[in-house]
Amino acid sequence: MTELSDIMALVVNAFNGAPAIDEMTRHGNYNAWAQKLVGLAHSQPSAELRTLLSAVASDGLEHVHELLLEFGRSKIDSLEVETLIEVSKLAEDNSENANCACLVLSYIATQLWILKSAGRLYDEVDKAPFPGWGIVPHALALIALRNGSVDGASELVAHSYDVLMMYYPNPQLVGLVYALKRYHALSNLIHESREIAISNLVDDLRTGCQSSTSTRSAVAALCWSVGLVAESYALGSLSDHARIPGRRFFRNLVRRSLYCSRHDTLVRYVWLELIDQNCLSDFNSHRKLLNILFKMGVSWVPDRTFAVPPSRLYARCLISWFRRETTRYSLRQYQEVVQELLRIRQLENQVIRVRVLGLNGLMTAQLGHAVALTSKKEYVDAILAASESIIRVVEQKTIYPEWPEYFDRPNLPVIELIESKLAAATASSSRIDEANFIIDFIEQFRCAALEYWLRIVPTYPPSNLDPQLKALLEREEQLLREMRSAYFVLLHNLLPRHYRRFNLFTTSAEAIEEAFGEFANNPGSLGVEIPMHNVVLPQELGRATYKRITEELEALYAKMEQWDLRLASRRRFPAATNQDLVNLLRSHNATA
Amino acid sequence: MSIWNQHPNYSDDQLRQLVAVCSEVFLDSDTAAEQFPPDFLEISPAMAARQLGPVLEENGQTLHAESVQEVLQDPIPSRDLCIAILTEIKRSPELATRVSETYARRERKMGGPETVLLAGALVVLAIKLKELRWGPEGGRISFYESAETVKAFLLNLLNLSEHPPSPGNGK
Repeated sequence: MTELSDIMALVVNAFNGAPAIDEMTRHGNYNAWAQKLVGLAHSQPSAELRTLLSAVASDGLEHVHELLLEFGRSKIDSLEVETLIEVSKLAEDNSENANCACLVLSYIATQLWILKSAGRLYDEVDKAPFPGWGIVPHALALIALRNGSVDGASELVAHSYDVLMMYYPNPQLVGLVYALKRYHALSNLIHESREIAISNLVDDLRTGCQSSTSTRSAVAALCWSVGLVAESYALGSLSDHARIPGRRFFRNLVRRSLYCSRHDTLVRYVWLELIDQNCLSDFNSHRKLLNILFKMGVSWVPDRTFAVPPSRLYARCLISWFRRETTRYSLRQYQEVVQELLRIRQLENQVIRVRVLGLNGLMTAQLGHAVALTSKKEYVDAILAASESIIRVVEQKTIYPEWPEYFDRPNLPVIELIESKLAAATASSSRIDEANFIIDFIEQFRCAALEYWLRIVPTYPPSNLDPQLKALLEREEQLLREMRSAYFVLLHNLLPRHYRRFNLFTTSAEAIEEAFGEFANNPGSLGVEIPMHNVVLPQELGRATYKRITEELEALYAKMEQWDLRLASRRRFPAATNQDLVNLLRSHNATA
Repeated sequence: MSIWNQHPNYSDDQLRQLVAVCSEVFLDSDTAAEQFPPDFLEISPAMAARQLGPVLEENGQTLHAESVQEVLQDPIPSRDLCIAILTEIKRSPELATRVSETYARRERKMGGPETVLLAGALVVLAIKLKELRWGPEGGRISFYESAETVKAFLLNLLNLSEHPPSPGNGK
């Protein structure tokens, strides 16, 4: 995505996130907001936009983007940026009395401001940001917040603040500190608004869990889907409805599940099913937080192409499972869908796969079919295979930091290993080897998540080193330095924007050109310090470099084995085994 | 220097912190432990409004819970309401001292600021707890008159906010 498409998406989300938009759409001149918009169109700063605003008012937001484009094509050249800034100020000043009308006005001003920038929105203009960053997005975010678009406002504020921070501190930019303070204050307001909305939703869910089995089952399904597996079983099995988890647990659940629902179709559909089954006392009062569930596009192809979206079927079956209402019919229906998904290779995403297949296991067990369908060995092998796949996925996150956070969503195989295998193995002294194997296997999950950190901080070598080994360790140190740089390049476009401004001292313009290629703006002459502005280091370069260094390190550790097998093994396999812990405790006891 | 020296001109951060501390002091009392769960401070404005409804309607008025919720959520009336409660707390020397000492201890710990105004929790505690006591040696404070004052203040705010809750009508 380009930067302009990023800001466009943020602006559209801030606007569309307002629950009132659905009510305003297709209600043009017959509704108060349209009349107020026409009234604002007659105010001085908006005079140049009068025809556009009147057209939007009578059109009822159905074709607002087409109207904007048409206006932009014919009038954008004659429009000044300062006019759009003034219109934004007008919208902000009037928004308490005309919330919806000012939301539309501010949205239009922001879209035209982006259009007017002609691609220069992120450029430095006389060592300052492009005009309007302190006012235009702030107005839209504040008005969007007042209209209930909490997430949209939050993202727009974070982005705009980030852009302005690129220029901080610069005492010559007189308005910069004031603009940053305003964004900071708005950010606090948004945070407070979100926390209040979350606490209202939390109390509604808790009250529902106390009084309704349906709500309890749906909430348990939500816990299960975000990876709070043990908690979901506990919640689903409690017979005393008065005993439910405290507010802190529910707060964590709501935050985490709403975050995950943006990119996890299973979690999203559990929320939609929870709403559909009237588990909330008043959905409208929670629209600030939940509207986003209805605004997202459908990301998983099968959800678009199957007659019943598989994610919806998953949500319904999971909730039914917690209600202990799984039927042979629902199991058959679910299994047919799963078979089809496997056939067309739409369960390649391991994080989705473990839960979809895991639910299949739960449903068959609830109907008492588990033993008939699968032998114990096959079941264990399946769990171990699923665990291996998840471990690889978690490791990969290191070089794909832009992927969403998994949190506990891939945890199902781990829980299954602990609950079904480890508990049984540790109960019998004849199965100690099996217990050891499971504990060592589980340790691999932890190490997968720490892949980079375990690599970058290897164990200390012994003091008397063979010269050959010393040379290998020096080479390792060099490679690890390069690895840190590659990791920084991987993270670069996720870091705050002020990391994109830096000075380079170079003795070779060609080296800059070679390293940065198209991203080199102004490769200068020899021995010169070059200010780089708004440079995003190429992530693919970082990824390729990281992989190359990993392979070189592997080859180096293979060579190291002939000099010190233990040192090389600790680097290649950093996971602590059960035996390692036992040996450590023994040596500690011996010392004591 | 006591936080009460700032009264009523608190910054937003100070007000949030002080409201949280007052709520904790109330909740730590034996009388509160009998009536409220330990996580009461995290109560939502919606739930607080529902709990306040029956108490506020004792005077025979019918109130919409949503109106009470709006007052608790809106930054301006909720601030005014919290200041009114703090004024009542300040009138009681023993209670005020307990609060200021707790506030100072908290400041020294540097645990991080409160980010939300716990208006709902404080209002419910202030109105429902007519008496506060802390153990057999900890003393006993009557809060009955102050609770009635707070209740009257809230009713006044509700009467001033004339609009009943309405569905979105695209204003």
